[in-house]
Amino acid sequence: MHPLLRRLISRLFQLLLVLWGTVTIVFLVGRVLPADPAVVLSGPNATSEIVEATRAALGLDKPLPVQYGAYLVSLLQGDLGRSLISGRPVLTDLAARVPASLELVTAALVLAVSAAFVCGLQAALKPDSLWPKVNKALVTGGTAVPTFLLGILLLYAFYIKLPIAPAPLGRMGIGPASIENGTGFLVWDALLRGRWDVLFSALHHLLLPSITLAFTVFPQLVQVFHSNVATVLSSDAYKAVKLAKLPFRMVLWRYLIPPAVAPALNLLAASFGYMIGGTVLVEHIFGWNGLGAYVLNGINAGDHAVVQGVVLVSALCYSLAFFIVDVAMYFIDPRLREV
Amino acid sequence: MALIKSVSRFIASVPIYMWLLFILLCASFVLNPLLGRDPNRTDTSEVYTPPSLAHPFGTDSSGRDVFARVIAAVKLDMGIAVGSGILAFLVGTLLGAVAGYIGSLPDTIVMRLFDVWQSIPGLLLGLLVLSVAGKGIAPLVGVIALINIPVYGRMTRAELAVQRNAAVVDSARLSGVPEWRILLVYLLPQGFSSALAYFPVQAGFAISVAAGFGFIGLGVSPPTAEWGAMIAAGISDLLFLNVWWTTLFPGAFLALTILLLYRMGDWLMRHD
Repeated sequence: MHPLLRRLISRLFQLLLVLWGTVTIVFLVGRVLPADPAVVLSGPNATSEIVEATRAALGLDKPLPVQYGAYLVSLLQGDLGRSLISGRPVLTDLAARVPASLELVTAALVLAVSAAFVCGLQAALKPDSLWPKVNKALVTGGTAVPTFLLGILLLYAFYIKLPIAPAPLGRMGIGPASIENGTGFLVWDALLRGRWDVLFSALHHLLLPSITLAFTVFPQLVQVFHSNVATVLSSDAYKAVKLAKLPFRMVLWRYLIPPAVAPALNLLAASFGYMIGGTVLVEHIFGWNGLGAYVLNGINAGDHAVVQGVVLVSALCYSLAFFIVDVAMYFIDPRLREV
Repeated sequence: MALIKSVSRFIASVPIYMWLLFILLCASFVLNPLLGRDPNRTDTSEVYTPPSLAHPFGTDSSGRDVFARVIAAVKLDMGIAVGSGILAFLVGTLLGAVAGYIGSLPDTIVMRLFDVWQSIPGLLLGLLVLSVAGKGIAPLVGVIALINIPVYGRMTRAELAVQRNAAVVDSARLSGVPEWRILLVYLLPQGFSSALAYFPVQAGFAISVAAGFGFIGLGVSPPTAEWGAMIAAGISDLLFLNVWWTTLFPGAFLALTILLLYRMGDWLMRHD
């Protein structure tokens, strides 16, 4: 079998196994823990007949394995249940909100990775310059200040004291008309249709939240990248390359950066997952209408279907990120291509 | 032995930031009773007074003394962090030790369990459990422990997977020491010592998670003083009233505590 195909199949199998496990955990947490969904769903004033009727309607009177089977079947059909607050299927609600969160997480990831790349590389190449000190300060600050506190500090600095950022009220100002029938990724839609007013407003609103979110993973990324580059710089292979008197640009991009980046790719997927969790807090501060706001509303209203739906979608995104990185490693690391 | 050695060294040379943490914690217990301050006492005649001698950190929207609240919160936030830390440490190291020592099927099962466990981003796993377990300190401690169990588990497992082939294990086995005794008495303490160095780092992380849950209203119930909840209550003061002391003081103490804990963890890892 072709090694790529073998890798694809084995990773796909792992992905499905993890997803199945996640679904099972979500199911068990919803059913086994003390709160009785039938009582919760019926509301505080329900009589016992109503509770029983709700229980029967939800299939909660059946034995656990039967419920589990029904749950799996409905999930496979894309049925995540119905939200109590909006009255719509959770899947419909999620489809409207996932792009907002993904846009924020992607922007933050791009920001964190490029900053860590530049800072880590500079610090490793110039150990006597200011770069290592700047990195250390950023890492210390980034680990000590929790995400939500950083968001508030940035708002105070750049919305109140030096008003260059917009009010923390969502993804766009009230000025430009919104784009109809888009993908939900505002920056992408605006670029495709040449709507520069929307693009500017969307980027303007993305600025502070994405910086906040980027700081949740930047410290780790920059430390790992710094030490990776330092390792390559002191390796025998790199010393041999330097003896060949190749142009620096070529040494940098062919012999220094790839071996330093490749081991950090798994960290990239991990960062992505960490941000999907962290975005809950960031969205709460910046009034971002994504998964985070949705799940918090769900919790405060006791809307379990919403909470479970968000958890499942996040776990799916996270596992997919690992899957993609694992497969991409095949193209990046030549050692994996040997049979 | 490694454990006893690291503890004795710990006592012998305690760096400044550990003393700071210690002082902070002591202050949290004694300062308010000593000065006769009550973190929950409201006073409508002193709403939003700026920092002064009477109120070093000012007062909040109900006229409560911010200094008393910030100081009172130290023991609560540290308590959540340490409580969840101990819980995660015990369960995690035990699971990891069993997996690493026995190997084969139990190992595979535990590791796959950790994979699934960690495929849900920590904060969302917490939200999922809190949504059914309800609010309060006990669920919060349990949830933060839950997030950290796989971390300790993996660490101990890696340690024991190497240790189980050590000569001491073979000789113990040959002299008829039962397997569970080898695991608990010979190997687990060594697994502990590396996980123990991670404890303060975990506690720092736990405090930031606890404050995060407090911030979104899933932590302690009001009016209990907790940094995250205080910051959440103070946002509108900061952004709309230009009252900075109700958020920035709890925020500064939160960041300071995390920083001190991380420093302590660094120090322990270097001296392991």
